[in-house]
Amino acid sequence: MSFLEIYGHKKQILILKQALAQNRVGHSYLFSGLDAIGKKTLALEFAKVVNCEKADEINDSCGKCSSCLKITRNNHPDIFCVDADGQFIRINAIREIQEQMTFRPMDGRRRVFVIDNADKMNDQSANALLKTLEEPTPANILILVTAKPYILPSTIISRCLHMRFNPLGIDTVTKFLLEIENMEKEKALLLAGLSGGSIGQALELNKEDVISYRAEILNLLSITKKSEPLSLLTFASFFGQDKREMKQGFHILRTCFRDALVYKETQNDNMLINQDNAFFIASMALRLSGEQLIQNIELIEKAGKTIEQNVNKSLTLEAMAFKLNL
Amino acid sequence: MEYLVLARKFRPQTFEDVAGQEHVVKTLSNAIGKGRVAHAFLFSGPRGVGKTSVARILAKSLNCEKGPTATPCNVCSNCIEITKGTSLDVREIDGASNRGIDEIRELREYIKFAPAAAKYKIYIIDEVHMLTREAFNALLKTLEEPPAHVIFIFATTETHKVPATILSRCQCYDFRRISLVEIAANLGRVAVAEGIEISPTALIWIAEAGDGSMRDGQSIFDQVISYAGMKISDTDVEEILGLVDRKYLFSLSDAVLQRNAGRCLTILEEAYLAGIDMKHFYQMMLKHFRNMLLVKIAADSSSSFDIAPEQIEKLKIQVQGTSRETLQRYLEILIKEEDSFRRSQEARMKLETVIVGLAYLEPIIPLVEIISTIEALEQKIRVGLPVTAVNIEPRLTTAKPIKEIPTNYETEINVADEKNNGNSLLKSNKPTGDLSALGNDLKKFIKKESAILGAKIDSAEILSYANGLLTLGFPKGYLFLENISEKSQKDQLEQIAGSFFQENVTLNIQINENHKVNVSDNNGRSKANNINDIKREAMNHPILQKVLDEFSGAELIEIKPRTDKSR
Repeated sequence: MSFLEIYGHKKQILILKQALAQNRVGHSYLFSGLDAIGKKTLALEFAKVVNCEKADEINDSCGKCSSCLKITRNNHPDIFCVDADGQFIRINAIREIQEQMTFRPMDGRRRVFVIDNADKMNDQSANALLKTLEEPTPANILILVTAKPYILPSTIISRCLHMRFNPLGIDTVTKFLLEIENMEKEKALLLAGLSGGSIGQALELNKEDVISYRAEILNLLSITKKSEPLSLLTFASFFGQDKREMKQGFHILRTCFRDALVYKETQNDNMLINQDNAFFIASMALRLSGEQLIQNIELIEKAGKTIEQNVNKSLTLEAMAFKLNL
Repeated sequence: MEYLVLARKFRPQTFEDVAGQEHVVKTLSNAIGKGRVAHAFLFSGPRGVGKTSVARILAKSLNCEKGPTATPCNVCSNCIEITKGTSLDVREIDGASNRGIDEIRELREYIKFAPAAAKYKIYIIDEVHMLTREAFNALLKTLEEPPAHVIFIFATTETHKVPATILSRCQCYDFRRISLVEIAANLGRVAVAEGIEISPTALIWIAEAGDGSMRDGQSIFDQVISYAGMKISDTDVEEILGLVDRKYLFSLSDAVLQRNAGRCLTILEEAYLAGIDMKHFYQMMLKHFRNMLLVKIAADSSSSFDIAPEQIEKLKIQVQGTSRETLQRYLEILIKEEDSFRRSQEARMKLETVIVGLAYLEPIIPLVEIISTIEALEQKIRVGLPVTAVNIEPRLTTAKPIKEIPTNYETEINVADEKNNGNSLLKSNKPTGDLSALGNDLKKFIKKESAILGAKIDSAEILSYANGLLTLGFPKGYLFLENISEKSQKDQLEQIAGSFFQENVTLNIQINENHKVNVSDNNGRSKANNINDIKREAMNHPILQKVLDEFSGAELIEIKPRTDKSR
């Protein structure tokens, strides 16, 4: 695997490559962006490149030298991944980093610490990292990876080279699903659309077989009418009693109404989440007013919240179904 | 040779190099020059403004072989060792990692030994706010009277976490945020030293993104360099900086103010695809709307708020044509939704709903405007058709009290003398149609003159008016009965009534023993009670019982009270 094999993030890769070429690699980086879009993958890839035996020639990893192989197999002595221990990254983990830093790297090149979910550092550990982050001993690189950079104290952010990662484009996610997951084109396109630009989200959705579930909901939504109370009850009972499934269902419902709202206001079906059902969305947008759609979204949200609080599920669902503007 | 980031490479090494902290630098160099150096310092201020740098320079100044001097030579072995961080006599301690009492005890152990090569033994404790309470307290005695060769320098971003007992033993220096111009100038020097081509505007942008911190500015500059190489164009900088954030804020709030929901959604979509975190964006939105409101209210004195001056002008243009009330309502909604937004799983969708909701709102017409419109209307009506006056009454009541209560508040505070009038308990129970109409007019008039008095006499009824003697009847046990009988209130009432009747009026207050309805339109509840009473009475009436007895199968369907007029 080399930089070329990373999906998306062309700009970020370009910056890193330029830094390598100009020998301006900083000692601390902060990678921030949506969950599961490849930040950590890129961090590890970068670790590979700075340690690769041939990096000076190609500014990329060769994937064949012993260092590259070790990193691929996850047993390189100079690459450390720190992740949350339970709820937090605790000060002990930071102290371990500091201890490691007192020695030279084993293989003689660069030692790289990847701190995943850096926002989970508690107050003590974040502060303990400050001095290290500012002036680590030579040949050490720290890469902080987080989806919530704003939680980190500004003192940390100010010491890092901050790189933002954008959500991936739908085409990139599709490409990933096609090439790595060997999905059929249609399914890949759909999942990519639903994923909101995150590969991890797309895979998660695939696992739960969301597609058929969604088709059922949309189908049901189209035959449910305000004037027929029985259809409303069928609609309510469809969501079943399983909390997880219900949450998923609510999410799908919300995306429908959100899409209708977006379509109503922009007439642009590229912005829709359920692009494959654009016709259905458009008809809903025509039928309902913007306020009604907003009200629907709020109703679903409220129902979701009540379910979280362990209120009677059937009652909540039915109340929601009767209140929805359909 | 390993690459050093700009922030480390261009760390100031002399007092002159330190940007933007003249007040600290001058004090310190004078102190050194006059030989009045304290034994403990505390440097505080935001990130990246030079606390650690100044601490190191101070250490060099004191330990330089050329003796304590405000201009360390930077060539003697002591200076070089300090710069490299290898000096035996200058120990830089990471207060956040070594924060326990044990570390402090160890420090106290070593403190008594004389310095190895230099004049002073200097302890720099960085991030000192992270020391534990025990550690701070263990330090107190040493800090107050350390051996003559020891100097402590503390640096922290959060002074409020440092105990007052520590603060009082140190000379405290507050470091300021560095101004935009100074950061830009410094970056310019860095660019020259590194041989980089960049336009002054781009430098200003970078400095702005640094937000008062030199290190932030330099970090960003570093990144721009590694992105764009030695020749940096303005677009490169724009791209890297994510100046986009603020751009989105302005365009989005513009779209909200223009109530263009479609545009709002398009902008949000763009922002999402640009990788902006929606939860963070919401916070920024909130702040932006707050700024808009502040600028709208304060107009010219807005500079005293925490808003960048170059933004104020933009904000001013933006809020033109939007009323304060509307802005306030936007802000209120945003604040109200903040909590649910934080818990929401789908930040993007929630944000879309909230923003579209804002864009759908009808603009608010300021209350003052409504009142003045109504008043103008009222004038017209008074001149033209007095009959329709009743129609606008309900609307008037919503607007009026807000305006009037404050102005008339004093009348209530009037100290009453204890001279109470004896009340005659005469009863004259014959309200006629004329009198009640007159009463309503009078009440309306009083309400207009004094809202408080108006409310108090609301449930009164006019029993008679003749020859300037006005008799008011109040229901028994009425809440304001005593209050209204006080002299000051009575006088005021008489005066108002006088101007209503255009003659001198004497007021007589009576108590209605078992008052019949006819109170006022506002007093719906007592009326309803009364109707119930009547119904109950009717049910128990002997004639009714007799009728029911006579006709078998007869049942009571409805009891209708006769209205006063038909009586």
